[in-house]
Amino acid sequence: MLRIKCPYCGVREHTEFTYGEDANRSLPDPDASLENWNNYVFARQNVAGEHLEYWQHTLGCRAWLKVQRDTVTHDITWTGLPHETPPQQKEAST
Amino acid sequence: MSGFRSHLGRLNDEQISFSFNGQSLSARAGDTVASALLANGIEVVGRSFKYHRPRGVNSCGAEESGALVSVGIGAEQEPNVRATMQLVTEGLQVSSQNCWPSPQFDLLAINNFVGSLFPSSPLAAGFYYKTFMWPAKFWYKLYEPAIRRAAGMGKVPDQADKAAYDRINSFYDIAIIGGGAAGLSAALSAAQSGLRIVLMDEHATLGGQLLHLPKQQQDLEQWRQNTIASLQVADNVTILTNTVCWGRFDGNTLAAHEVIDGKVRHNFHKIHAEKIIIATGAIERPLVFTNNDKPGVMLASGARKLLNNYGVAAGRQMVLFTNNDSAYKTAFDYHDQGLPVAAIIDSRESRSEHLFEACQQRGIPVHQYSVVTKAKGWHGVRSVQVSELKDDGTLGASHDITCDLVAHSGGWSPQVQMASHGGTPPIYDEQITAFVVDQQAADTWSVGAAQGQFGLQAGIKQAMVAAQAACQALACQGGEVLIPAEDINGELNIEPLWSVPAPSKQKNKQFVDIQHDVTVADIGLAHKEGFISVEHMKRYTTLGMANDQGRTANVNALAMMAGHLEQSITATGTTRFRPPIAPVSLGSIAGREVGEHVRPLRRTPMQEWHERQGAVFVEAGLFRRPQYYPIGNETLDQAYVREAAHVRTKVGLCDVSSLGKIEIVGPDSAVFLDRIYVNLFSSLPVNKARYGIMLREDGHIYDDGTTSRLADDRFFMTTTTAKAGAVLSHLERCLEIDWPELQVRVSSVSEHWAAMALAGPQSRATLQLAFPEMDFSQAALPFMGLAHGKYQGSPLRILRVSFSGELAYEVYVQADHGEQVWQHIMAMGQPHDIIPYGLEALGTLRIEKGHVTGAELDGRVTLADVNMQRMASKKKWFVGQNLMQREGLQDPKRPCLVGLKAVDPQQAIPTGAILVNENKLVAGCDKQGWVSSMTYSPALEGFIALGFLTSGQKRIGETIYAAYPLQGQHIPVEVVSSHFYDPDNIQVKDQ
Ligand SMILES: [Zn+2]
Repeated sequence: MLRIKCPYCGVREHTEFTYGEDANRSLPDPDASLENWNNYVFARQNVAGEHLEYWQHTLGCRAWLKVQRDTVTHDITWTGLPHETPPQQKEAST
Repeated sequence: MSGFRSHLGRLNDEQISFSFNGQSLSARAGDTVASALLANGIEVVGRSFKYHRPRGVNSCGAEESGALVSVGIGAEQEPNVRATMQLVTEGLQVSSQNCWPSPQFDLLAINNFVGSLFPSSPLAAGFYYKTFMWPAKFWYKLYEPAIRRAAGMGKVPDQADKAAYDRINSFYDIAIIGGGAAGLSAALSAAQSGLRIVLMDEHATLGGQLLHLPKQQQDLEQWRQNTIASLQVADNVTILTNTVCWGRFDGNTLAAHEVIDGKVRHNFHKIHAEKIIIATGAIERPLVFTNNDKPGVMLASGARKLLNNYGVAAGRQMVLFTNNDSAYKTAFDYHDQGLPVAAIIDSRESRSEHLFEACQQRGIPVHQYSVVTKAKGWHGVRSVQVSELKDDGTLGASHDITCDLVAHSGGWSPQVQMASHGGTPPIYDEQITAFVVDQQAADTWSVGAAQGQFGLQAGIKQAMVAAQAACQALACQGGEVLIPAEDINGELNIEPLWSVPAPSKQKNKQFVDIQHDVTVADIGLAHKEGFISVEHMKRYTTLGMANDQGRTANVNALAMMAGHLEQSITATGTTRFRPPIAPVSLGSIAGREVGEHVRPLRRTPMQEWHERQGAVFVEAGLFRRPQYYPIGNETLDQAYVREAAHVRTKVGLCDVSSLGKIEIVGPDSAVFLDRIYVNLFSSLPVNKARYGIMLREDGHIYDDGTTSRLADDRFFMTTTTAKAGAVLSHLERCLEIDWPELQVRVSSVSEHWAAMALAGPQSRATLQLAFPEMDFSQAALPFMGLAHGKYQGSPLRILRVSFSGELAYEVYVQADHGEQVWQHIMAMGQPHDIIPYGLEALGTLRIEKGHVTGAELDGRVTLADVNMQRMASKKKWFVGQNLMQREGLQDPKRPCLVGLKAVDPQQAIPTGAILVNENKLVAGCDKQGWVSSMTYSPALEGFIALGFLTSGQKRIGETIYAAYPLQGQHIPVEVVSSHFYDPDNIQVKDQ
């Protein structure tokens, strides 16, 4: 049983949450090319390892969260709000 | 008669009684069914799975593969219970399995002889697969009935289980699996930290292999009792006995199955632990020789525990057969209790001097470098055939030794399942000839025999160190454990013997997996047929798939497989262990969620009225919605046609409370809805409603519904019943992830509002009577208008929308006034002959009108597919707009929505039928589309349907065919507009 730390509600069982989608993508511009839109909707990295994804605390506060989960071990190493970034990613990007 | 009660062991002298195959027997409190049967001299307990060979008790623990019994009768009956794990309770009813008329005389034992006549018997490895390949008629008529009668384990009770089961979620700092010396030590050390500890053991009594020792071994018995006593008084320690931990899952979650004798039968514990200590011990492996499945052939450790713990001698004269040191203790304990040991047959080349001397002192003959080649006897063992081994691996001269008990040991296999569930692969250890998992990881430790550490003091120390490390990782301090002065040497000095050399015709009597009747011959056959991976060999032979989950069979089988492949055991590898490692009752997993509690029932505020009215209900998600309201003996077909026709001529009321309802509030609400829906909502005036369609990002239709504007910054959205939850999540996702800058809040108000559709020419007159202070005239409340009112102080929203194609309204009222308002409208509609109508009539009306629902909007259709491309606004961007323009979604040949009319109006058009051009279904005929919904239309006096047809809009007027080959139907249908009824909306709008 995975446990996810909701920033609003604390540590809860994963059955309260619903997986949403890959969090490594952002909505293209409305005028973006069909190819860009196609990549946004369909292309995924399918990472084996640490992965950012959106989950919703559906049976809790209903917040959408960003979750850093290892797709191999299922370890969840970080959770935050949708527009936050996990600490090590911040370091990598600066 | 073989076994008997020699003394009391650790039991007290309280007598209880139980029955076996109807015969009343006595037992001592604390006996298992296995110890009690042996104490009563019962040798044959049941018959085997495929060959119906006699089987008896062959161990004393979870690894039991011989004595599988059914417990209880009727609804309470539980098949395939391991007699070694089932405690005897007063009045317990135990019966044999797989035999008729009795375990002593079983008519189906013929399978056994058939098996020996043909080298590849019909029930040999892979018989499941092979027999399926025979011609079908052979299978149904001959093989399946024969195999069903012959093979199988026990019987499933034919009545519903009345017992209660519970599911328990719990949280601990440290979970310790296994209550032997190592587990007890880990628990005692960890307990001193003050952390929350749980200790689980599958047996009724804690102690593990300490219970194999004679009670007279005072120092160790005292240590066991003192340790348990200390744990029992510690407030922070939970002890779960009769509890097998059957799986380890992500996030340090353990699943455990507790057997209790009370109102609740089993508990399913879902345990979350910060740290896990695996102290699951080791299981003795059998030696593989001819007839090693006969009653009387028993693991040495089993025979020892039976004697020392339960006081039951498993036989009157023992022969011990071993390839290691550990089993000698069994012979010594039997001898020292005055029970004769005829001989020790030791397959090893070299001997352990101290053991040899101990045998000489006791006068027990030892046959070095010899093997038991065969157990002899009709049902149980009466003698063994013993041969010397020669250096070339062949057998020397043989002789027989009389005995009724063969205690055997092929070494020990650490119980690595729990460690393996975590993903760590077991590694073969040459020293102990078994697989181990070396795990001293961040949050899991394997200790004691489970980790291959068979020495007592060393195992206790290892467990204590692990417990202290676990405590330390949780910023606490574990304590010290008193190490007993007496040690048990863990050296096995094992020399592997995977199977005793035997002539090939005897190899199908050398059993590897006893419960599943898998023999040395089967493994050879699997190899010969090309199954070179252990995972394939396991599935082909079904080895290791029985109750004991390969505890006794796996290592021997892998080693044999390695032998066939001429490679090392390490290179051959082992199968991956998967939960559950022990039988788990389905009841315990279901817990209390059975019957009507399987899932919650959502009730609308008017549910009780529908029930009182005698409505027939249909499941719609978690709702049970009225399907129709029969009058007298009306059938469904009669009722829905009557209801639909009545609505078209008079007036009817339908409960639509299950619709999703979402309130959208904030200054940017209109901008938000413009992005969500394909059509424009920012232009919608206050107190007006608009039908809207939303797409997915990929350009397909997601959901539809009516949304009305309550104020400049406030909208009231309805969704379909099925998508209510998903649409809310979608809106929340867009607001939080894509457009956090929009000032909008969305809230579900589905439960706040009761909703009812009032439809029919008399609907306005009815409303006017019901709410006289409101004005329902065409001028005051035109089509798509919203009016506000009050009923007994509670707000009312009345929306002039129509799903039926008649003059119609949707009435929304606060849920707690739902039934009142419903009854009020029904009462006020009386003069207009109002009726309630159900989901079926609602469907008829909307099909006549050509409205789409989930049957059409199935996630694969676009706006153009349902002829609504004109709804897409060109003045703004919306979700799905970009990919809607993909080439594939623009293809003019895509099937699109059409109406279908049966050429013979009285011929039904089955939903799901395929649309074809040909007047009969022929090979290669092209699928032109499909039928999505159909009904009998009282308005058109015939069967009509909605469907999707390639280039459908251009084909109006054609006659095609709806093919339904499952029922041999091929129905001519005319392609028409999907707007069967009032295509110009005169009824709806202009009144
Ligand atoms: Zn939350």
